[in-house]
Amino acid sequence: MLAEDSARIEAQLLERIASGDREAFAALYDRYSGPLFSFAIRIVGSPSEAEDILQDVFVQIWEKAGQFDGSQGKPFSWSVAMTRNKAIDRIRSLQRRSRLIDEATKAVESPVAQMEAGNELNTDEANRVRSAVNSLPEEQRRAIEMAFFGGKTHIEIAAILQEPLGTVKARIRRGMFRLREELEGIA
Amino acid sequence: MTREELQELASLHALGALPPEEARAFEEQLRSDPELRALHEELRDVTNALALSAPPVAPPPALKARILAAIDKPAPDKIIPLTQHQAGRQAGSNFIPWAVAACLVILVTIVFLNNTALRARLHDLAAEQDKSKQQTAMLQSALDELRAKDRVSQVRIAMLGSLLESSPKAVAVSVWDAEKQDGVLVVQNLAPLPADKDYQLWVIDPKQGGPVDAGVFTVDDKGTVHFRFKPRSNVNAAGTFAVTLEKKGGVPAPEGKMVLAGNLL
Repeated sequence: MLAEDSARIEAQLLERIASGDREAFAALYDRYSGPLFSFAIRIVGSPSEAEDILQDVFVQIWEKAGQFDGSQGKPFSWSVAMTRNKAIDRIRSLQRRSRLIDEATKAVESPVAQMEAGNELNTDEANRVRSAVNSLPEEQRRAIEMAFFGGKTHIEIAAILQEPLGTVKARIRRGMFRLREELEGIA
Repeated sequence: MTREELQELASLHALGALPPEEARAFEEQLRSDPELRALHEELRDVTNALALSAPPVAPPPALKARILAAIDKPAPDKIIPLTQHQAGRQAGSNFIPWAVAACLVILVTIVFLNNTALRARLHDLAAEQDKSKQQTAMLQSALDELRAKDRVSQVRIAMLGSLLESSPKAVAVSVWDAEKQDGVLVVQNLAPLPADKDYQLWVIDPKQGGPVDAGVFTVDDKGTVHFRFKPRSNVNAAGTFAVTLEKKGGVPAPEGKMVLAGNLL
């Protein structure tokens, strides 16, 4: 299914959710829960934290579906932004990421926890995104991931990497532009 | 500002990597620059696609039922999240440790404050408030460590006060997991030691005879340590935790001066 088709179907689901349609909500959960749960774990590092975040996100979707504005982006992007905000808030407030990363590493490495069939978002898309991210030069990938998954500002990234601010900004720009080319049709 | 600099800002903003002030300034610029706005939207889509790069992990099946139950609740207010989590607990959620942790922190804070009031002859109120905050923070730190392992529901807590007139501000919190027979001791304001000395932690079961050695530790130059401990032998019903000052490496039974002690709450 094309990304645009998915976005259209998901926007329709949101419309139905806004009118209180539980079936539409369950259908959207089936589509988004896998990727959003994985994303939340990637940020907070803890499956148990990610469960709470996912619950908060879906409750928010239920309550605010009527506020979704298709002109401002796709439904999945809207949900990702919600998930990221909640997850980054969580790690900032708890400030215990290093411990959680250990837990997450174990969980991700566990074959039981690996996602099997049932994730209804297009896995080809996910594979393409992973491939694009992995194809970035290490320093670009690292800076982008520190920003997106770690919630760090470019100033914090420069301090952590002990690199000049200009270098970090340029790396991020080059990496993002390269991803834009690689992900054309998805993003 | 050059086009390249604007592209950098657009990339950083799309990633959420601009500090608030810079983000606001950039958003102002976006309003008056359609070309920049179009670029920013593309980069924002790239950013959101990055979410798919996370290693795939399936959410637990029970989570769906928990969330569906949550949306059946009345419109959210400040009380709802707890109700939602209670529903989750029935569905096998691991929210229990969070709830227990929160209750423990509140309980310990209350107990400590009450205790402080009773001992007002020793300290003025302001000093005790600071101490209470300090211990609560220490407790939180210790709980965080166990909470990460979903073990908070199994632990008990002891607040250790200073027995030294020379170090009245020394405090410690011991979080003890009887089932696992290990715990965490968080200490603050204890005097740093000379190289030939150690602090030694003891766990005391009133029905079990002598104190059980739980290991030696030192503190940093600020008098703090975060010490994971495991008693050398099984402790059936720990009641008291105590810290003594001993020779380097510790001793089989306490010999030195007791510097901190406290009972399990």
